[in-house]
Parts: sequence; structure tokens; C-alpha cells
Amino acid sequence: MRDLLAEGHVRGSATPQIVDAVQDELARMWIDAMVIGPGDRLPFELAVIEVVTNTVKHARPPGGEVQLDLEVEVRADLLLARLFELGAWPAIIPEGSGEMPGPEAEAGRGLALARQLLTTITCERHDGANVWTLTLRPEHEAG
Amino acid sequence: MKFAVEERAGYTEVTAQGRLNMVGAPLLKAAVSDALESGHKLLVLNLGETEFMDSSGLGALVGCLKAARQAGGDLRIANVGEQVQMVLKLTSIDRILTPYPAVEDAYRNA
Repeated sequence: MRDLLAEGHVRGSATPQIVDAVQDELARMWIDAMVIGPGDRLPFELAVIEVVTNTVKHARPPGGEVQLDLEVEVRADLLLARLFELGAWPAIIPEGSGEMPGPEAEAGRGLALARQLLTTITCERHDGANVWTLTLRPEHEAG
Repeated sequence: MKFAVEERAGYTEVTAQGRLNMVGAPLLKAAVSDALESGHKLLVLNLGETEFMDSSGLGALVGCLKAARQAGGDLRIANVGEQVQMVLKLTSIDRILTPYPAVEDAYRNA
């Protein structure tokens, strides 16, 4: 595995505002990882935002609120994001969530897009949290 | 997100500046709905300053297109950047919402 070029961390309540906080953090990170070209940066950023949005829309707590904790690492040969849904019920991923709906649909594309864009995407249950792991291997390995 | 609505010769230009994500998407729907209610039926959405769009933004675009057509008008998009173009293509929305290179091209042959 190559050296770490940039890393980022965002934590907060799973509300729509956290989507903007994640975008600000990613924008800051790309400044330190300019060798990652737009052909890899744009798909990864979109996939991360789709999964964060999925959490805000669908993660439900047994009581109180769901906390979202996102860690991102950028290396020349691997873009990695780990998203923890803290205090959420186990994630229910509907069958067919990987299929792109038709052009008339106004919703339901988020996870389908993430699956299409990433090299791997998994969701596992660990210690009472849902943990999404997203990876993208850059097509044109940088520097 | 910031929106500007300006009347042009034969259409109305709506400029969307910022990120069309879960936060921005409902604001776009509201801006287009206001324009339609004010009698602007032929709309061009200028996405030149839309730095990011995700599936929430895309859903809002489809919703805006439907609303414009239900009001007896139309909505077209123009001046699309690399990131927005990528999302339109990945989801095949470019088949129902063809991006025009410039705002003034959108209704040129209408």
C-alpha cells in the first residue's frame, strides 16, 4: 500500500447539514492529493456523498439520534472511506437497491450509483454500529 | 445554494450556484416552482455554477422537468460542467434532459 496523501474525518448528527460538512472536508483533502485526477476523484466523492445521504435518509435509532462518523484516506493506489452509523438499528438494504431506476424516477438511485462507481462497497454490523466500507482503486495510478 | 431568475427573449433563465445535494435539491424545486407560478413556463436551468450534483439533485431535476411540463411549459439544462455531465450520463438522464452547450441554444429551434 502506498503512502497516505491525505486523510479526513467528519463526525456529527445524521442530518442533511452533515452532507455539506463532508463535501467541505473532501474539498480540503483533495488539495493535498492533487495527483488523484478528476477521473477518480469525482466518482469517489459522489459515492461517498451518496452513502452519507443514504445514512441521513434511512438510518434509524432505537432512541435519541444516529451519529455519523466518517473517516477517509487517500493514497495513490487506494481511496478508502469508512462510515459508521453509530446508534442505528441494523441497516436494511432493500433488494434491488443496486439497480438503476428508469429516467422518470425522482429517487432510488443513490446506492445504485455508489455500487456502479466504487471498486468495492460493503456494510457490516460491528459493536452496535453499521459500518460502510467504500474503496476505489484509481484507474490511472498516480505518481 | 443561490438562485437567480432572469427573463430572456422567449425563455427564463434560472441560474443555480452551489452544490445540488440533499440540502440544495429542495431549494431548486422551490425556485423552479416559484418561477412556474409566476408565469415563467419555458425555463433554462444554467448549471455552469453548479459545482456538484448527486442523485438527490438529479431527482430534483426530474421533478422540475415534470412540474414544468405539467404547467404547459418545459425545462432544459445548459452549460453543464464535468461532474454534472458524469451523473447525467451514469443514470441515462441525458436521454430525457439533453444538456445544451449554452443557455441561448436551449430554445433556438423551438
